[in-house]
Order: sequence, then C-alpha cells, then structure tokens
Amino acid sequence: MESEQFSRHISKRFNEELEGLRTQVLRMGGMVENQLGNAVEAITTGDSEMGLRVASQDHKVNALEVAIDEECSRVLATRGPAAADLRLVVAVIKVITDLERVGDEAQKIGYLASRLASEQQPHDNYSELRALGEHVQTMLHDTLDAFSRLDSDDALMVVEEDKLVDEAYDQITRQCISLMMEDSRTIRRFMDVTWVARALERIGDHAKNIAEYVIYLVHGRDIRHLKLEQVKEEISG
Amino acid sequence: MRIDNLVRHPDFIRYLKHGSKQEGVEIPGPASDDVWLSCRLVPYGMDQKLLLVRDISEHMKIARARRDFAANASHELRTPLTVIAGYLDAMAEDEALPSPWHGPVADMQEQAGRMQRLVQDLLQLATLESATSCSRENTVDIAAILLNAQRNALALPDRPKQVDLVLESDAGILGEESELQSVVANLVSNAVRYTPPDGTITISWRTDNKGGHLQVEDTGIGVLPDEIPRLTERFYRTDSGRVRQQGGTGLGLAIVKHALIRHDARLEINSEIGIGSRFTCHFPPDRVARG
Repeated sequence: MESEQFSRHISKRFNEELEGLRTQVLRMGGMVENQLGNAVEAITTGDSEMGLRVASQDHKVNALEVAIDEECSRVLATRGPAAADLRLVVAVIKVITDLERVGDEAQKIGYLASRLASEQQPHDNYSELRALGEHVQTMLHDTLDAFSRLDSDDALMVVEEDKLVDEAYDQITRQCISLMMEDSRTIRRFMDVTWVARALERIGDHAKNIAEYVIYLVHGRDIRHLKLEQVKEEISG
Repeated sequence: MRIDNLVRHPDFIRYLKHGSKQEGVEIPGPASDDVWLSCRLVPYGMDQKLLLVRDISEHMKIARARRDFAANASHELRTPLTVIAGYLDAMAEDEALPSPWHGPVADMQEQAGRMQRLVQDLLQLATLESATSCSRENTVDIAAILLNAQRNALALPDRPKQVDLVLESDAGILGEESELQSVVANLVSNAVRYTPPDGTITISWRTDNKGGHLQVEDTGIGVLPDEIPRLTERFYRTDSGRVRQQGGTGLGLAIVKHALIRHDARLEINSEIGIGSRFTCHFPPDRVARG
C-alpha cells in the first residue's frame, strides 16, 4: 500500500484529513521519542533537572493524544471511511494510545532519574540501563519509520526485537537482586533501578504493539497473539 | 512521503512550521544520536522550499571537548590555589615576616585572589554553557537583586559619584536566582570599573508588552562600535591600554551572555566613545512574572 493512495479520493479535503492524521501521529511520535531520549540521558548522566523537565512535559503528549482522538472520531463520523482508509483511522486510534503510554513511562523514568540523581551514581553510570534504553529507543524509532513508510518488513523486525528487550530486562532484574542481597543499604536505589528497567521494557512492548498495527494497516491482518512463524506465513501467504 | 514524517524531532517540526524567523535548527540525526545535523530552510521560486542539511557532529564534538576541558582544568587549578592563598594569608599576618617582604606578599595575595576569581568565573561559565534553557519554576525578585547591587556599588571605595536605581515595575523573572544575580553583578561592576568618579550609573527595570528590560547605563569611557560584537568573547579586551589592572577577569560579559541565553533573553549593547555605554537585557514576555 502506497501513501499516494490517500490522494486518490475525489474529495480533496478527505485526502488532506487522512494525510493530516498521519502527520499528527508522527509529530506525537517525535515528541515521545524526544522525551524518552531525554529520560534515558537523565538517568545515565544523573541529571535531576533534566529528569524533572521530562516529567513536566508529559502533558503536551497527552494533549496531542486527545486532539488526534477527536480528529479521528470526526473523520469516522463525517466521512465514513472504508477499507484501507478505515484501517488507517483505526490504526491511528490504537497507535496514539500506545504512544501516550510510552510518554507516561518516560515521565516515570524522568521522576526516577531525579530521585536516583540524589543518590550515589555507580561507576558504570547504569550502563545496562543505557543499553536497554538505547535499544527501545531504536525500536520506537524504527516502528515509527515503518508507520510512515508503511513498511511491514521493518515492522516485523521490531516485533522480533522485543524478545531481546525482555531478556535484557530479566538480566537487569537478576543483577539488581544479587546486588541488593550483597548490601541491604542499596535496596532503595536498586528498587528504583528495577522500576526504570520495567518502564523501558514496557516501552519495548508498546513499540511492538505499534509495529503490529502497522502490519494490520498494510495487510489488513491482525497478528496480535500469534506466533512469529504464523505471522510470517500470514503475511507472505 | 513528507520529510516531517521521518525526521520527527520536535525542534525540527517547529522550525518547519514557523521557521522563517529562525536562522536554522540543530538536531540529532534521525538515524543515530551520534550525528548532529544543522538544517536550514531556503525558500525559492513559487512556494518551493529547499532544505539544506549539514553534518556538524565534528563541530559539536570539539565544542564539547572544549567545555569539558575548561571545566576540568579550572577544577584542577582550584585546589593548589587554595593552598597557596591560605599560606599567603598566614604569612601576611605573621609578625616575624621581615619588612622588605610585606609589599611582595601583599602583591602575591592580591594576584592569588584574582586568579581564584578567574578560575571561579571559568567554572561558572563552563556550567552555564553546558546547560540548556533553565526552569521556569522559581520567580526571582529582580527588584531585590537590583537594590542589593546598588548597595554593593555604593559601598565600593572609588565608585562613581552617582549610582541611581529606577524601578518601573515590580514584576519578577522566572528563572534561576543565582544566575540573574551574577548577570546584574557583572554588569554593574563593569559599569563601576569604566566610569570616572564624577560619572553616573543608572540601573533600571521595566516591563512592557514585549517583555522585561533590565538596563545598566553609565557615563563611562565607552567602546568603539566595531568592538561591540566582540565584547562578549572571553578574555577580549577593547585595547591594550585598558589593561588588566582594572581587576576584571575578562569573563564577565561572557557569563552574562550565557546566563541570559539560559533565560531565553538577549543582550543589547549600545555605546559611544567618551559618552557612555548602555547594556540592556531583554527578557521575553513568558519569562516575566507580573506581580
């Protein structure tokens, strides 16, 4: 499915509305990407000011979600879209929910960053969190690119990536547990670290969800809760 | 395919939307954070726009290295200086010090003090430079800062005859108190330094619909027009005649400039040789907290 298909309609306004929807979603995506990047940086550099700034910016993302949601219902009500157009509107409604949640997780990380900054910064500057953070950032970035290019192959790659994120999360949790057992005074700090890892892992899940909506948008098939092999068959078949 | 669907950085999108006023925008590359790009939009023909993108990663890397160096070097310099200054203080008060050494020790004390100020300014500049726009959470009582600055100036031994304060507004500024304090302190101490004893310094604060305006005006020796743009460069001196014996560190205006950038404000300098200089800080309306 090519993006040119939005320009197929006889009503020029309709084309513009669909194009506008997509651009709005990607604008929101850009905001969330930026928030996430800053939140991860705040953690690894121990910058409490930046953490709080991320936390205070979340309302902008929320406002955009509400606005896009309204625009979607308006398009549904006035245009009665069908086929690929309908899928686009449905996908947009779902994508923004996940993006908003990513924004919330970034906000949470921001708060935790400002709290962790007041504690002792470890020598490795939370390198595991940085690695995990960079990984989910790439996933979010790739999935949004896939959404804008309507590229289901790229989206599928993001879906596959999520497994690695889960592994990394497990590893960080295990590491935190063993460090907490070594020295009980660090429990509070490592609880926060676990929360950050948890938030990052959730962001990975949301990126995967968005990738699934992209596949739905392109192929018209719902691949949620299917095994990867089945998905590949579905798409190629 | 629209460019803003792939390059999604909020700054970039804002620039695309209402970029004409802005010169350009610097964003991390969409594919990798290690790359920094400088983007400029050039309108041409009928409603056409050309997007020029330049890779400035190398430039950013050098700028960061320079900042880190300044911060580390000044930190390293401070420790030995504290020791030197401490022993000099002890020696100056020691009655066993032979009298021929009184003069030299006093000189050394003075120079050590200057060097400490210099290092402190360098450090402050390094912190200001590495930080982005500062928070708007605190309202700073600008009138109190100005009153304090006036009092300090009046307490100096060889100050100009008159130091006036004109407060036309009781509005505050949303920002960082310590930074605004050093902006005012630097501007006022410059004015005191370059104004003859029979001159006048006027400090004023007013607000209008364009925002807040903080002004320090003097009837001092002034600077040449073509030197004005270079005044905020670090260690820049207008001429060799205006030597370091004036006691400044050469970093004052650079600190002012960077502290103002953090408050989204800008510095305007007007000056005429022999007549005086006027330094105005323009704060945008959304930084002004009306009382």
